[in-house]
Amino acid sequence: MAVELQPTESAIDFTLKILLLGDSGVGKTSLLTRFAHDNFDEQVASTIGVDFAVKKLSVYDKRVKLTVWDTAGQEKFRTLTTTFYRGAKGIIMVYDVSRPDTLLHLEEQWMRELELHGTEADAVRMVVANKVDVGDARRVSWHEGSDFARRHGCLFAETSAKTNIAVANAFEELVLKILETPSLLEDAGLRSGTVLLDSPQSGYGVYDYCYC
Amino acid sequence: MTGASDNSIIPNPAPTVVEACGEHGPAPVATSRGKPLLPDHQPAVARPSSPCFDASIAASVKPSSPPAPHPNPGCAPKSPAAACRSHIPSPAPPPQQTGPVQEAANRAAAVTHISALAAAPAAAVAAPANGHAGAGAAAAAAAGAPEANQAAGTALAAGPADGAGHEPGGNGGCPGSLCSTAPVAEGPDEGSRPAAGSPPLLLQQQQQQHIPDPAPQPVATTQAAEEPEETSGAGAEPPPAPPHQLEQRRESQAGSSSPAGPAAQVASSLLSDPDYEVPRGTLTETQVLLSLLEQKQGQRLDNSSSSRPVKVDRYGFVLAVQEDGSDDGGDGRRRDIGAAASTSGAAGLAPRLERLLDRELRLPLRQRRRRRATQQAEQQYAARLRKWRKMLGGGGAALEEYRRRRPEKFKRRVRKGVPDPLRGLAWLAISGGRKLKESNPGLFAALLSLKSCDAAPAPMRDAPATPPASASATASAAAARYSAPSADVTLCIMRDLNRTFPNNIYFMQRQGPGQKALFSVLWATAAYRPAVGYVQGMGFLAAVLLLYMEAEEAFWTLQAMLQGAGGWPEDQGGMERLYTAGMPGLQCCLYQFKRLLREVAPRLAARLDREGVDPELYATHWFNTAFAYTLPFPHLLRVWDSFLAEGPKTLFRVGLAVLQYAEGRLLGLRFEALLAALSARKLPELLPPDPHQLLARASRIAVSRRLGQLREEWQQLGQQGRGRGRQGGGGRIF
Repeated sequence: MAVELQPTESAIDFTLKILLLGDSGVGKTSLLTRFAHDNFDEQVASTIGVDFAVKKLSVYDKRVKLTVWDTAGQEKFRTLTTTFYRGAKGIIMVYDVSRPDTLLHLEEQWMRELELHGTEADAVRMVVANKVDVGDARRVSWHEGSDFARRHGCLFAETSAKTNIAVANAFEELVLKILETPSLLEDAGLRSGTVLLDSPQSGYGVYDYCYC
Repeated sequence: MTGASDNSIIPNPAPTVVEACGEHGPAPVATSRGKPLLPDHQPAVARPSSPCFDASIAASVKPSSPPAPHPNPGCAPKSPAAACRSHIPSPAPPPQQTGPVQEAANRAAAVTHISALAAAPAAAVAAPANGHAGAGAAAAAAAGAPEANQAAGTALAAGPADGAGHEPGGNGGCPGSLCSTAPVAEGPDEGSRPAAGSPPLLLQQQQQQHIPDPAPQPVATTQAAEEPEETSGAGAEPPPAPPHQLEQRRESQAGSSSPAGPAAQVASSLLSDPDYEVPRGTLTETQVLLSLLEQKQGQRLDNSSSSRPVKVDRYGFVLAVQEDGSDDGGDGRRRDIGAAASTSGAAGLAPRLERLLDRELRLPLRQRRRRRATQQAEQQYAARLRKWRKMLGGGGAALEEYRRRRPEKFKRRVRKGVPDPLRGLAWLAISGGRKLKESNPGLFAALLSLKSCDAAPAPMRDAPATPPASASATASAAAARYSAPSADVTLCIMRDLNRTFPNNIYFMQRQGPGQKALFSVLWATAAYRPAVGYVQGMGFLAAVLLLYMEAEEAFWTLQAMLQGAGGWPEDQGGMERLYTAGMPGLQCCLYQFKRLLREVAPRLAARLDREGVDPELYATHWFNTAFAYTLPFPHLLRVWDSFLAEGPKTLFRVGLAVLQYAEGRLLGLRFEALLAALSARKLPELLPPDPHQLLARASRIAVSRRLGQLREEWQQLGQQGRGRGRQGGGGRIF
């Protein structure tokens, strides 16, 4: 496996800021908790303001530290949360497969916000369809989601934070893509040096829908 | 309360009717009183005359009506408990009802599926728990208690000394109920303590269930009958001896909105006496929910002895579950007793008795000293309660006058903390919610009856009460003036119901009474203040209030907070601007806070600046939820006492005090560690353990004058391009 979680503290090659966006209640906090702490709590309180977690990964021979920012989803908070967009190398936009409106809002609202406030033109964007464990309650198909992602030049992944489906994969895929984008790494290295990577050959991950 | 029918352990899925007659009396804080779970919840069942009195009134209160036979055969063996249930008034309960406690206990043990219960066992249990039980009869009674308890299928331990715990039970199910308590405990040295024997009120049919031992934390355990109308639950926990039993006991009596019969008279006379004013707490429901939860758990575990009650703290927050019984000595001891009772019944009596005697007779000196200290604390507490009650007057009516006349004294008292039993009442009055409520009678109900909350599924919609006929004028006026929030807002509120204090027993049940009340308050607020609608964070404000008051009171208190109607300084405004579009108030607060921090803790401020940790990153919810999102409840309550009286400046003071206090520990940290330490989850670790210490520190920080200056500064900045002072916060590159 190319990606190995939790490398030793010693040396970090890159520190990458990742941002979680999406409507209230789509599962951003749960995704983060699953990814960073590998657990899931049904009883999670709404995120007020912003939350934050750090996770270290080894991707090929690079040690990467992710700082993942989990923002409040409610519209009223946007004036506040947009200040967090700055410097984000990876943007994960989350929708809930049981609520089609949350996918719509990605297009109508979140993408627009991102264009306005994002500072990294090349930031890697990923659409994540969360809560695929809902079964019959599902209202957005895989095709709709992946078409949407393709249209907007985003990676796409279907996940379930609850049942731990593909959560880590989604983050890893995002990281791989960021590492393949040299312009994003210019100021991300804690230690300078060459940041050129041997690009991993495509085909990593099952959810590779990048059309950037 | 009557039928002896068999009932299931399964809580009725329709949450509407569960109520608790009993209350728990968590120590100093406990206070709650029963109230209808839902505004519209009408007891459908006509109650047999006597049992309506479930209550616990101060021992001194003597209802005049004679005891009526309890309709429930299960209650036949009259135990003190039974006496308590029926309004037995006389200090000396009738003979048949005053059998020795032990006898009562034994009888109870004999009658297994009996419903009633609990008072005796609880009283008995309470004594040992307290260490107050006299060696003789009390000890015996205590020893017998477990069986009785078990037989009854309920573990109800009355807060030993805390009479307070008893609330008039479910008023919903038992409309005129008033809880009266007859002195039950008969321990030699306890006879005079009213609290010792306060019987939890009782329950209807109990299902047999062994309750593992209530832990030091309040644990509730109860059964709920299946028939909605008749369900009631009782729960009590055995907390350490609470300081103010007597006073609390007085508080604990509740008023019911629709008293009937003789109960009504007594109730109404009590209610008109300011001495008996009690805030409406919701811990009663909390207890019921708790017990439901436990039932579920017990079921899941197949009723094996390993079933473990969920433990909550005195505010209903679920505590981490212990993996085994190794919590602590005291607990283990009590568990032993329970276990013995469950397996061997009467055979287990002797050893337990011995242990009890040991404990009582060889009470170490240290313990006696501690008891003396406790008694002193009780007296002080009682004195505080008296002062507060006097200051509040009936229903809090006198407070405004007092505040005007003695502002300094008022402030001093508030800063010392409102006695918990009076907290709901005091908050309502202090914040100005009471005035708003009185000047807008019926408006809350009218708002809730606004049409078009189509988005809300049926179960949610029945939370809003239908306005009484008399209020129809108000309703139509409201309908003309206000409109129902959009479906979006409604959904948004509903989505957060499960995410507001999800670890509190009162709010954790989906569509349970807590969530319904929360929904109604937030929904009505959104209708009342369309400019605000619903913003995440408001739910936490409402939820805290709902732990102390009914939905309507919580609604008006929330409005008072939003508009700053209380005694808040004019220039601070209300909380509303924290929630309007763009959240200008919040941004201003964060700016002010950042600047103040530079003055109060310059080194830490410099460190935070250097690391790029701006208040946006950690303090948003401090203001947005008035600390409800992060502070441990005991701290939070004290903060709110002062916050409701003095306004938002308290939030600045507290925030600054927290950082100042933790400065040493924060100074060495880097960006990520700083954020982690300041996160909502970790912040409690930075606090002084004693809430009083936090408040004392906070009150030493002067902010009022600077807040005004900084606001002007911020407004000017805003004209030049808002947010200049905030650069760098979220802008940190990683």
